[in-house]
Amino acid sequence: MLERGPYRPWDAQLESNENSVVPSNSTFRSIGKDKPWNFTIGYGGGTNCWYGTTPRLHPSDFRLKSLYGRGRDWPVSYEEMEPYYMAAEEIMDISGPEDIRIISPRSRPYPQPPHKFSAADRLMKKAQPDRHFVMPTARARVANAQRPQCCATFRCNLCPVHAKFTALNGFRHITENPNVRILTEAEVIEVERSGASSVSTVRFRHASGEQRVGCDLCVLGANAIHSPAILLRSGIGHPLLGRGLNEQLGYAVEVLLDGLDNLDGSTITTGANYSLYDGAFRSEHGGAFLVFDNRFPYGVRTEIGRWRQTLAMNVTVEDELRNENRVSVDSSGNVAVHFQGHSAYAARGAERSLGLLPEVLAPLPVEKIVFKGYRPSESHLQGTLRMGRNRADSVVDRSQVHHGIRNLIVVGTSVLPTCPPVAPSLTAAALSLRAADIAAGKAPSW
Amino acid sequence: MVSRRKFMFMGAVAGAAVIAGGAAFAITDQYHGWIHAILKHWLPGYRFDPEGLALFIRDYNKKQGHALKLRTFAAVEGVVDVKVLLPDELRRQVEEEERRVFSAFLVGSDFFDNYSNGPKTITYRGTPQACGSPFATF
Repeated sequence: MLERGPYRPWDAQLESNENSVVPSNSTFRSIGKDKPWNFTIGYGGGTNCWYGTTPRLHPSDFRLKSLYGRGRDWPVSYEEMEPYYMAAEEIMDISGPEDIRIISPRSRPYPQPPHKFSAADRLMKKAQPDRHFVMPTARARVANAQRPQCCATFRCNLCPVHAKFTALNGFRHITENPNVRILTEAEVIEVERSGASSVSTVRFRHASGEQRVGCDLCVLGANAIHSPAILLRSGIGHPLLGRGLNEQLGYAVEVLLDGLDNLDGSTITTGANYSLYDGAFRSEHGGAFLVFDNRFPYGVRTEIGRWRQTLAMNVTVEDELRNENRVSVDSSGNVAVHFQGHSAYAARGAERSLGLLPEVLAPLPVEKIVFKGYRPSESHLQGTLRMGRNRADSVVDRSQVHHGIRNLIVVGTSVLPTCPPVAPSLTAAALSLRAADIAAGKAPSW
Repeated sequence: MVSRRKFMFMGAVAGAAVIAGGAAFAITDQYHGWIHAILKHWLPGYRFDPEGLALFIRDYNKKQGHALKLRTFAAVEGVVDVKVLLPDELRRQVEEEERRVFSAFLVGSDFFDNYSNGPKTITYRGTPQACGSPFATF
């Protein structure tokens, strides 16, 4: 395995107060809107900096075109993904509630019990039992052999007790496997073709200079900016290569509560609300996922005795892929991100969801809902090597094999063909397990 | 948090009130007057352990670094009410920063251990490095 960044132990990350010595936004140039795209350059990638929020996609997310005439259908169904969701949840020892199967059906319970609701969540759950759930998460509810219980520090990118799943604490058996060799600080420049439909070597930059390594099967998993950049440098063209860079449009609100002491949940984010997620409205505007936080990013309240009467929420709205939001490389191989903004579909979804919040939050004693602004990034870059059944409208096929280069598999969120409202990390992990099964002949590729 | 750029305007307002000798006060005061005023305003009747307050101000200094405009504003605000002169948006940002200051002080103190016992001396002990929510239950 070639890894661009260094191997940084968790204590080194904590001591320096940063996940990587390479700032993500230093690895590309922005053209258009100067929007941040957050990721970690280093062994373990996004598992270092993620907050460990792991909802599954809604079954409708896989059939957006068929159901609502928007975007495209995925080349894989929820039913086909379910065992891989389950496998990914078991590998990462995910905590979650049993009753969420109403939204996303599941074959077995979550490996870990759910976290504890906050007071606001409990009222929501009582009024909306089929729409409000404990948020599934890779932050441990109970200690396991690798991790202690989450103790609500609210600094998950640098969790001081290492309670969330990361590659560092969860994949030791892989890094210690004598058949696995990981070369860090090895920046891949390009993959080199050996014929019209295959690649045979990977050229990379290392401290000792440029080198090559052979590959029978090449798996590319940089991220939605650098995976397409590598293919562009390699001259492996496709009209959609690098296009459609996206993430959810997110905004934050603070709900001031009248007389309800909140914040007594057991982790940073405790509630997942699906009231505005799915429905016929998605033919007109994006669905919204309502995330109930248990932290107080704006501070405790200042009025005597009302310190805890607050609820912080983040709302993430699905976007539509815009081809003009793209990745390019110049003649020197340097990477540029061209971002013109979110789609009108997402903007309408945000506006509508904000307007409907008072109705959704009716079970709570709401004193005031304060809009806190749009969030600069959801740290979910995706969509630049989209998967699909046809070469004309996708870069990789339903097995995540490149349509033209048949020994090149792409993994990670770059293959997502639409931008559903929720965090994509669990789905990317499940897709990777599925792609591995197909490559190993354990699952059908059709 | 209020960015340094946005504090340019506040600095100008504050600067008008602090021209003669005030700048030196702003540097040496290191937020003490401003923070003490915030705490006294929202916690009337409470006292603040001086050593704990000094520790909190050191922590806040570390976090803010050399945000000169903020220091200047904070120092002047500790003496006269400059905030009322600010445009609405900047005043909102200052109020949000004051709330964050108030919150960080309380969360790092023994306040939530025994505030229901009524006004007392509050001792700041330091920003919790882990498991720091005083409200979380498991």
